[in-house]
Amino acid sequence: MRAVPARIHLPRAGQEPAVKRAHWLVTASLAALAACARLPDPSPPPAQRAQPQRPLLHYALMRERSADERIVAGIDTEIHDDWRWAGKDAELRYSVEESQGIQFEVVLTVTEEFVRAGGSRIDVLIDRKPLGSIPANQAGYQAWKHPVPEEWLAPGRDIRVELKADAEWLQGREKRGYILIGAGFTL
Amino acid sequence: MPKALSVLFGAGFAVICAWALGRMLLKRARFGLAREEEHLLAFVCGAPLLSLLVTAMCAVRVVYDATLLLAGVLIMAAAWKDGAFRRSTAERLPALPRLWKWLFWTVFAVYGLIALIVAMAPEISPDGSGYHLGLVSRYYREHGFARVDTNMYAALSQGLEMLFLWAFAFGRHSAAAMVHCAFYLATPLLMLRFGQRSGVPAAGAAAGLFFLCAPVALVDGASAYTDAAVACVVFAVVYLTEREAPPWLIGLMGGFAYALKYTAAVALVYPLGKLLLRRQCRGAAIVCAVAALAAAPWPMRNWLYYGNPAAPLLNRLWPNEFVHVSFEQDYVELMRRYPEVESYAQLPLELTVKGRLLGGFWGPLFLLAPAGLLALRRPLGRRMVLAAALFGSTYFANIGARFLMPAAPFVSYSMALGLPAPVLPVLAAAHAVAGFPDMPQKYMSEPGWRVSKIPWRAALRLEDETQWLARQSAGYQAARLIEALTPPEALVLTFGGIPESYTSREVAVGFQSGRNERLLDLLQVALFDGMRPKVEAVFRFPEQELEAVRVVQTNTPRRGDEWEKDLWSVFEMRVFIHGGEVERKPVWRVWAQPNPWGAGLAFDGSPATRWRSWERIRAGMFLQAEFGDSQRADEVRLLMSEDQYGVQMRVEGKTPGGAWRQLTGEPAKRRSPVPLTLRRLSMQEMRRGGVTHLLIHENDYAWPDLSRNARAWGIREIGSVDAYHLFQLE
Repeated sequence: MRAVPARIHLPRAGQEPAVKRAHWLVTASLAALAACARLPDPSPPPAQRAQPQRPLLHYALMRERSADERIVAGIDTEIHDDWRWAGKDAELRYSVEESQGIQFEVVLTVTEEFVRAGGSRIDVLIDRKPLGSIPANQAGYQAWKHPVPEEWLAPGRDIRVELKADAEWLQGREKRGYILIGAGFTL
Repeated sequence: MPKALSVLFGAGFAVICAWALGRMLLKRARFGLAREEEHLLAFVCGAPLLSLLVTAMCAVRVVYDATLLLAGVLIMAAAWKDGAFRRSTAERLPALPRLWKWLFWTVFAVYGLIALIVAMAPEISPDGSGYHLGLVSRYYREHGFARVDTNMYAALSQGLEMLFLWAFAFGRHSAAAMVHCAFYLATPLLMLRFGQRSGVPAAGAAAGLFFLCAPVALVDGASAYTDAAVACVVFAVVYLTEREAPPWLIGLMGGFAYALKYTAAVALVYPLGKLLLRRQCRGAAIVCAVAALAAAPWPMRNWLYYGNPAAPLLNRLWPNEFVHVSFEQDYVELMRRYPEVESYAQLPLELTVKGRLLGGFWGPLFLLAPAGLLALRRPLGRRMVLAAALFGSTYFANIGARFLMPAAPFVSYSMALGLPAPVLPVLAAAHAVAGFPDMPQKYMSEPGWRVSKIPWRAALRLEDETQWLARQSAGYQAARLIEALTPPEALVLTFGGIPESYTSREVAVGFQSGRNERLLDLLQVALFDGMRPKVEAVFRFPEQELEAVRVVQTNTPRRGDEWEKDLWSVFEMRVFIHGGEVERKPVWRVWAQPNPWGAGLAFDGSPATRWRSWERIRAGMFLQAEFGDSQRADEVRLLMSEDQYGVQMRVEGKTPGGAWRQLTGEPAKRRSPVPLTLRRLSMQEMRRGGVTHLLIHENDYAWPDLSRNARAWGIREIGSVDAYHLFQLE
């Protein structure tokens, strides 16, 4: 093997002219190829699909004024941010488009006052048939869901849901139960 | 023709045509070959030519039994005229030592027979009977290439599948597997001849047997896979380089290596390194040019069909809707770390004496692989260790045992050169006994993928093929169910792979392409609470005239962050003024970055469809609507799902004649009721996407809900077999 002369200038690893040329070539090739990426142009909105019916008949969002149509009794008409006061015996009415694989959902906040008043649960009845009980012996937010037997629901028919709390308390002269954010049928 | 004969004819016809082309090719290569090398290298070097021929036939869609037969006859006639069938007068290689002669040929005969019987039996390997032959079968039905947007594997290079296609036309699945088996059996022979040529015949014979008798090599080599062919071809590249074959021949084989498997392109490094070290730049340029030509059909096809020459990889460089970037990101990670592999420290035992986690094992002999480093004492040993390192360098891209196949011949050689010569016959014999079907069962608790029985009755079709397949192949019955109960134009969406080569219907496996993922997403949106449209993000800003509005994602999670893998998605993007929605008009133009193809899904009015980034969140992603003219607006609402906790957003607006500027930051989020008809809506969208049927296994996560609520989904079960259920979309 020949010895390398002492004074000769050697490029650092990766800096040899051939390697540098190769780097440029590879980078330029990739950049050129990347520039060939085929992206679509902006397009008009597609054909509009059939919208779910509004106002909703299967759910009552307490933040919305349209929820008044779902309320039969026991829920305040006044909207606080996104909730309303529900009393001891709240009742709502719904209609569903689908009966299979459906659950009933209640989104609520149990208040300290409710618990202090001896409250421990809220029974849910659909057309007077007991669906289940929402545990309410601790204050706090919860989203409760329970499957509904298919035979309890008939698409298009009026469905009554009762939320029966086991306690109420007084705020001034107003009878209060718990904070209701939303209730209705869901998947 | 009896099936067994048609299988032998199909495989034999492919191998003989490759050999004939190789004979003509090697004659023109004009480098001295010994008699033992001539026929072996003729098959291996002729294979790329036959593959290119079939590729060209696929491109112009003239793949018919008759055209293949005619092409084969013409090849044979040309070879005859060229003198390919004449008796060789070439010199012989140095003889093998007597002990090795007996040992090598006895073991080779036994293992060769087993491999041929297993290959000839009906194909049951998961990938072989799934996508390898599924795609071959489709090309055969369609007489050439087709854009297959339901299977990302269709975008891999398919050099070997072209040979499979040639054999498949006459002998179907088993013929294709036997073609692969030919490469598997050619590899130890090449290794032997290389040893004889290099003056180390005993080491060559030992190395050949080390490779041949490895359980994963046997089962893979006897299946319609590609790994053994890759091992054979990359060894041939090294062989030809060491034999100083013409650069164009080395380039052809290097290009073919890429055509067999992307990662095998590293084979070119070996000859290029050698040529450049010798400053033979012209030779190196020829190697590159010919390799590029041999490999070119695959990136060209991918560019035309899928918009990405490197599909299904590098999807960020060439964005496309065929394979999502998010899938590539997840898949690459998964392949580097298989389930239950906590640390790479597990690999040595898993690869040699366990095999359950890595889909096969190499046998206890390979625990001695580190002894291969002793070969560094010898020049040939150094080259073999170097080649082992080169071909092992791609292993960590996928840590399955079979992905060591390209490196295995060189690891075997290193071991054979490094270990003391007297122990080699003992080790080779012990390895052959230890790997014999089904010896591993006797010394391993849960051996991985291997040949456990020698199915000679099934191979000779003395046993009914369909009954045997029904017993041996998990999804075979499901494939036949699909064939029996669906129309020819059916598109069947499944959650897991089935042996789709046994049905002529198009099967879309949930994860196997961007289209499939989008179809599966429709189902998941209705199935999983966290993926349902139940969050409304509300951006309020001062009322103003705007030409366009866009929502920008502003978060780039750090590596390892909890939300690093989140994708951004929007079911609906709506613009409001004074609480009333601004009507979407045809003059609007909607766009998104990334995934501009899906932007319309956020503007179609459907709560079942969503635009998804299909790429892990990073700052700068956006979804936008241009109004065509100015429009007063004070609010933007997005209907979203919960499964994107890492997403942070702001809204930007473009004032008339102005530039984009921020209108407001993070939105207020509130609940949105889920439509009760979401399941049905999702199936309607799936139907629009072309799906006609769903194949669900009872272990699939969707099975409980789909089976309980079939009416709500709008599907009807039309058949079931084993634990598979076939549903028709109504």
